[in-house]
Amino acid sequence: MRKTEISHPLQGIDRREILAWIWLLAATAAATKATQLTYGFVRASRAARQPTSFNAGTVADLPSPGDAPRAFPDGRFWLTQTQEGVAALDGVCTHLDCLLGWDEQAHEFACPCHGSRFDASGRYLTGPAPRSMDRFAVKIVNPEGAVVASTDFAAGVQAAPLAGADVDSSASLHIIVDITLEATGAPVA
Amino acid sequence: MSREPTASEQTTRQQPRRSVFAGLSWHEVRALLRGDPPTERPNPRYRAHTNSFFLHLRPRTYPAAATWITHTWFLGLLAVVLFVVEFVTGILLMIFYAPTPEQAYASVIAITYYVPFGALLRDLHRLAAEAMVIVVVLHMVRVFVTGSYKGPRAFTWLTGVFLLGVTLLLSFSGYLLPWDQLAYWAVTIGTSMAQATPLIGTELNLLLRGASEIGADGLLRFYLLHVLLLPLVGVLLLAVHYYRVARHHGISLPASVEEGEMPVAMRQSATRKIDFLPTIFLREVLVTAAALLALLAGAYFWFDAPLEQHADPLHTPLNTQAPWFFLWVQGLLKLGDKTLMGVMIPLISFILLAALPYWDRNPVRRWQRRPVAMTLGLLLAVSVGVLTYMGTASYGVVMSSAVAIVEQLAPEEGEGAFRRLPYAALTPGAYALDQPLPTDIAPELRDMLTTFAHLVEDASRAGDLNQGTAFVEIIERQANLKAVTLRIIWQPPDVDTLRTYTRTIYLHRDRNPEHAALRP
Repeated sequence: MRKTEISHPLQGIDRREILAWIWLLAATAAATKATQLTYGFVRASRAARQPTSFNAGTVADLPSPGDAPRAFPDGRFWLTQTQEGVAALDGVCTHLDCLLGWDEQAHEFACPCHGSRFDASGRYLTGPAPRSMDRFAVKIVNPEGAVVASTDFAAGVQAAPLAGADVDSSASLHIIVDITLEATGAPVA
Repeated sequence: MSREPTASEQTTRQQPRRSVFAGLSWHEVRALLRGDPPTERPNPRYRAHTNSFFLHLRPRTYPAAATWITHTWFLGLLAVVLFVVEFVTGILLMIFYAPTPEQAYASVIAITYYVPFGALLRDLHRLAAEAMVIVVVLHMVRVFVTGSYKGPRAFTWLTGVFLLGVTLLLSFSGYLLPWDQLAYWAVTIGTSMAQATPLIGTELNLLLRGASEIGADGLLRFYLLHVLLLPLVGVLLLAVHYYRVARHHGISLPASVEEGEMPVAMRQSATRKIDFLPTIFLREVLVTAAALLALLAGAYFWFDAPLEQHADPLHTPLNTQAPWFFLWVQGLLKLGDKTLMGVMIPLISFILLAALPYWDRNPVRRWQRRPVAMTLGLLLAVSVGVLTYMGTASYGVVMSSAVAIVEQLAPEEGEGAFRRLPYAALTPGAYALDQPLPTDIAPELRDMLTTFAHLVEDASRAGDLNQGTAFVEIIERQANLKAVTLRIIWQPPDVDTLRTYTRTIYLHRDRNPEHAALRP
């Protein structure tokens, strides 16, 4: 078999080749930097949704435990009362960001897009969602502005406990929901 | 005394015309259109392929068998024709469309009802887009079945699969622009899937939406993708794709001609050369005209580009459904993990498809001799079909009976029986459907109320809605506007209180757009 003949075997590397490689390298670096700058330009740097905190009414307006949660469409959350206290459930489905609806008949949250379902306290029931509903931070303040109860996600307190609150003054206790602080729901086992 | 001009004098005299017709004389142009042989030697038609930019893109000759309709079905040509239709109608629509959340929907309404030929243009744009998805997929199926992706055409296939991707992305990015409910939520789901991409997901989602949720930034980004970036990528890919077909390897011969054993005379006839000018050119003009006519007829007589209600970022409508060509992804998403089902499986399928000629090393082209490839292809087609069904709202999304009954009669999106009632038939009043109906109401309304009552009764009897009762309220809210409230009340066996499901729809006298357009 005949080998292909190389008429000019490359021996070593000369000045021109080194310079050409340096040019190419510099051009690549410049292009990389330009891409990075473009990305920084195009990438959104918007802050979170406005407003970031909602006055969700008073403790007296709360749905009783076992009742249908109350919707706050502007803040995309639902207020519910469980045995543990007041919780603000993020109304965005944990699957693909559709907004959950409340199914009055089954007494469950239902996702209109892919059919995930959650119970009234936001616990995962069925469907493709990867975890239970997320929760926003809740604090309950008295007329003087002092916090009488609140969630504490770091300590695992996911609902603002009402046990210590003065029931008679419940109409003056306001519920404040902060949508910048969020605890992700328990993953589906 | 006059004499016949010499050939060179003739050439000089015709020079200006020749420069318009790519070096062809007027005689030659006429001969070409009549199907006569060339009038000069050497064949001036071949020279035109060098002189003209547009003709130089096209081969001078084609082997006869490569142009058999049963081989190509003109699908590549049709895809290009549709792409051009999209370009032209798209540019015209851009004149009236405004890509902001405040104006987008209103501008689409204006295009549909007030701009002359606006509705036709929008219908054409949408119809051609959907036809393009079908034609591009069929083109791919054709190339797969005829084994034309093999050998020197491997890279052409690769660019073709990317063109399929661009076609789908173009359709999807255009989907958001009318800023209606289904569009808004379909694209929310789409970008949320992008978020599930490992490593770069969150950034990718932010890059597409321009914010944490789709809003003014997201709409503008999708608009720019739709009218600038994706068409640019599409044109570049198309150029590479077509250059390879025209200059590198040509349209494949049918496998039966290339591989089969046939008499010499038959093979000679199958591989004889056909000139582009005029045969192929005129054939393409004919096919293009037929395609445009079919498209126009479709858009004019049958197809209406859909437009749902204005996008509402605070409410996801029931029956949210992806565009039909992405239903298979929605079907996958119902099966489980969004990273695996929504990103990894579609991505891996895409890569496998694009790389098909590189892992399918079987040199045989005829489909009868490629049982494995054909089985795999069929399997893919069947799975896409099944997944498409699973992607529809009727699969896997359970609606409780109260919602289902109301959705059937007065859906959140779309028309439904209540909206089809004549405006005059909606006699204001409160109707308890377990009581006898008043005698003086229109028969259409009576039928509708009876249907509603029966549906609730059936559900009640089935144990779904214990002691379920239906109510309808019709109120004239203002001149020419009525509110229709459908209400179902039932008593769950294990709870003390009654439960209620209510939906109100608003009907305007001019709701039917054909009537509205006629009013001064």
